Amino acid sequence: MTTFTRSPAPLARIEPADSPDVSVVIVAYGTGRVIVETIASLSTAATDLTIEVIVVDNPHPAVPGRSAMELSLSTAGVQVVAPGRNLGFGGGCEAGALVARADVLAFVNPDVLVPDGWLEPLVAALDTPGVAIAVPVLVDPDDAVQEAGQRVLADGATVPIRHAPDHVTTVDYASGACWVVTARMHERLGGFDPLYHPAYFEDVDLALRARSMGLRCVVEPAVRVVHLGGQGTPDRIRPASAQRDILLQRWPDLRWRQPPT
Amino acid sequence: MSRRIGVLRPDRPLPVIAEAEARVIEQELERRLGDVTVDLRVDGESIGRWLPVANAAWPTDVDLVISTAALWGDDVPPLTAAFGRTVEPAAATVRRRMLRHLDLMPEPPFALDAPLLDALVDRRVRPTDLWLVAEAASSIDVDVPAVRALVEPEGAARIDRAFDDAVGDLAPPTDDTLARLVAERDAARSQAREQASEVARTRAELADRLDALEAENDVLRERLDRAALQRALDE
Repeated sequence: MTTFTRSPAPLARIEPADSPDVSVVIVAYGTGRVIVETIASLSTAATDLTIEVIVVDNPHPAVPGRSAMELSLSTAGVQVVAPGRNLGFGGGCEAGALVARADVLAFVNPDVLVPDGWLEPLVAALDTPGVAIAVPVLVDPDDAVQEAGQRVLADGATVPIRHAPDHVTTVDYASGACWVVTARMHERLGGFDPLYHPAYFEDVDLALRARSMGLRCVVEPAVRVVHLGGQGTPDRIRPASAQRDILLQRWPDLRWRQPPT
Repeated sequence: MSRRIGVLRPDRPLPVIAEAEARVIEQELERRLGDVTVDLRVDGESIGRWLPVANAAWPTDVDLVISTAALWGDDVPPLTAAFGRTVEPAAATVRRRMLRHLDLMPEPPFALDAPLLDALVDRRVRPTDLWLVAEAASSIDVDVPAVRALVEPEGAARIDRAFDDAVGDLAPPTDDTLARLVAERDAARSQAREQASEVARTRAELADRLDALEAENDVLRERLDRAALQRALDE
């Protein structure tokens, strides 16, 4: 079921666009108030591009309907997709992408705060031939670098790069907390794989798939996005060893990678 | 009925491309002809220890043999690029799984997600998704008008058109993009040259200054020595 939020006194309002430039897709899973802050930052961040915001509200068994309630009370113009069951992170992203109208997709976590001018450099980075995915530098609220992309090691572990580069840089992969891709490219890559349901490592898999097709994931250091981290869901972050095993089965050549020096 | 098609390609540019090419050819043929397997041979390779592939007969169950030799050359784009509109097989596999995960594949028990299916069919045209849904629907009796329509000739033509429209998105960069990148490269080179000459100039200035300071130092030291000598003579 898809609806638009219409709070009579919204804290965040997404202006309707007939033909948006970018579709921002947010997957919620029992997410609380922080999602309103995310949408507020999306609605106020200066940009010349028009956006639509789609929230896929995966129902959390402990707090069903929480995100939808927060959104309906405090936002207007947000398209909410309620799948009725937990599609997971990848499935939620894909459900959002299906209803998206723009040529560019921005997958954004519900605990991410974007600054002014965040979209243009990321969208521009996609113009470079061979670039499939563009991501910003993720920072803590105190602006400390959380990750500027990540390395994928031989055992499937991922290691965040803590130093922001001074120019657009290719990385093994970057967290799906905030990444931008054209809709065509996303389809060409095949999108997120539900093998990793409910979450974790589907972004690694997609970035590796892009690389196997000769395409790249790049970090745009001109954009620094605050990732509050761990606030997108009431659940604790788990090690996701099962997902890592799947990754290693899918990408056996990872084992041949040398450890970083 | 499954068809088996032999494909013979020359041994250039790289054997590794042969594998990707085989997958793409198989996918493209399957999309058009149904169930197909491709037996890819690279000219120049051997079958077994001694038998050159050029002298080996194709298996009897190969229905058709295609030689792609004419499709390779310096002025000819790679075959994979020619089939650029074809879905990458790995991507199609993932996509099929995801459509199933989202209840969008017309398979038993037919619990299709109606709102998402409407979005899939009516919103942005996704040739890969539509083709996968149509492919699944073609072999069974589906009583969902939107899905049935994809299997009809008009629907199939729409999917083909969508694939054709998508070619531009996957084509090599446009002249505008290339011009922009070349301009960016030239600007960066020019900036690098300016910085290099600035560095050289600064280095030369510093060397001159160092020489001057050394000369001044020599003069002062000489004066100091003379003064010390004079002082000793006076005493």
